[in-house]
Amino acid sequence: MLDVALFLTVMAMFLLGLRRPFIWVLAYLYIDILAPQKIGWTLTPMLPISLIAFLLAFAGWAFADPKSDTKFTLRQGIMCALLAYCFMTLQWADFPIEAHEKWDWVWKALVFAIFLPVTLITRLRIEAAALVLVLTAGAIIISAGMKTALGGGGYENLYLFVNDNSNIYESSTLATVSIALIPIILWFTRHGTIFPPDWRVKTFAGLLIFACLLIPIGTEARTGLLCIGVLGILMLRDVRNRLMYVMAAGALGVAALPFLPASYYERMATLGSVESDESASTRMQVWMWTLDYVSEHPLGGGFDAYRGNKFTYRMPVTREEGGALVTEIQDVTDAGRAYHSSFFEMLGEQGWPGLIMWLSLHALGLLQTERIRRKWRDRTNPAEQWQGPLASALQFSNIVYLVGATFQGIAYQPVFLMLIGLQIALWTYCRKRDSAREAAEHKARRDARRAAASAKPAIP
Amino acid sequence: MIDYFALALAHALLVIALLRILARGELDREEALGDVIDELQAQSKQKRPGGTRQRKKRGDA
Repeated sequence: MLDVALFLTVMAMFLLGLRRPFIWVLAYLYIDILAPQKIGWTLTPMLPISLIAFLLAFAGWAFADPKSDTKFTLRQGIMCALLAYCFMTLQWADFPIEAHEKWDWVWKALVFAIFLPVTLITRLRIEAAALVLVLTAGAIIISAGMKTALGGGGYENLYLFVNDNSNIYESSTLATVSIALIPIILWFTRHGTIFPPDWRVKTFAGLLIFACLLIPIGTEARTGLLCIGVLGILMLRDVRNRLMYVMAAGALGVAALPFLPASYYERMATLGSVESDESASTRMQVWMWTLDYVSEHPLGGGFDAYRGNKFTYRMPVTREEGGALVTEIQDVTDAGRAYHSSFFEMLGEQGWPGLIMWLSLHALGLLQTERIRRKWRDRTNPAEQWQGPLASALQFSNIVYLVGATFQGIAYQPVFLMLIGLQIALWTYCRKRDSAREAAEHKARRDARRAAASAKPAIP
Repeated sequence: MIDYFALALAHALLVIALLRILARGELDREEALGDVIDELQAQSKQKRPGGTRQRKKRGDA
């Protein structure tokens, strides 16, 4: 039944695309985030729907979209350079087989992020892409949030639609995605036009945000808690009544405490004590190892270069002996530990050039969204009210991502690359509108001058 | 059960959204500056110097 429903949804999207080819771009976003081919068991895995949607999205743009307004931006250029550089490091990768496995999805995610902005040429398209992204990730978030609220969940215990740690089905990644989507969900409660903001939209958005906040609790992802804290502080910038906001956030936090499971407190307590937590001490070791590695391989070791790491360190290990807990200092050996940080993931895999490209991609995103926010916030035209808040929302999402990325290897995470695509689309849209406005103003001034000149009485 | 509910809710909203998007003409092309031109016209009407209007009246008569 579920399999049939998912299959029919995908097929319906493909059919609707025959009328409006842009729907194929939305279909790809939907398939790439939800992975219905992994949820279904017979029909949906039968066809390579992700590949079909990918090709249809390109074909739809190539044959049906106007190209005269197509702009290629600096950030798309950086992503192109990063893609080419990743391909280069793939040639000398330390672990070629694993590197090729990662390359298989990274190139697709990067190519789509480069392509997405050229299709998002109207306001409705930008909004539609953001809405499909929120609703599709929303399906996973609603399910995980409800399970958490009803007492399920726990570290590595929260069952999602797909449980292979792929894409956003990895618990910490899902926690970061959930928190990063909150500002965008809030934008829909004020500026949405597909679902114009009314009490139903606001109720749904409120519940969805609540579900998003439950994900770091359900997955017990410590990074998620940090992301909530950072977003809470960031939102102080845009709220009208800051005092009320601080008081409401504090009250909500205190009210939530009794509902948190004991295991959550235990896991969160390890945030402050790096020495006694294997995951955290491994992280520090891997980061040190990466710095050493990159000093010898400044151009990077290709995808999954971390597999070459191995280190022994002493740490307290607690075990049960005759009904009592005994803690001893022991030698612990770890090998092939993942980077646990996108910064170090980029550094180890793509070396300094890759890290610089990745950092400039995000730094430019933060700067451009800030520029739009400042430039558009005082505009009074009704058609110019949504751009500034969307820029602000995408900026917050980007910051939340960077906070999450500090402790997770999610440098090429497709959902965040899609958000980058949205940022670029908004930047291009605003620039286009600004230059058209300047041209219209110039024309209006010229017309006014001509009208004034022609109205002057002729000199005898 | 929860999974079915979450999938059904999100998909129902997705389908409604897609149908609404399909029905709107401004999906593929948007009248980029219709509103800005209106705004500029409104501004120019406000700023029009009194002298211009006077001369026009005289001419009309």
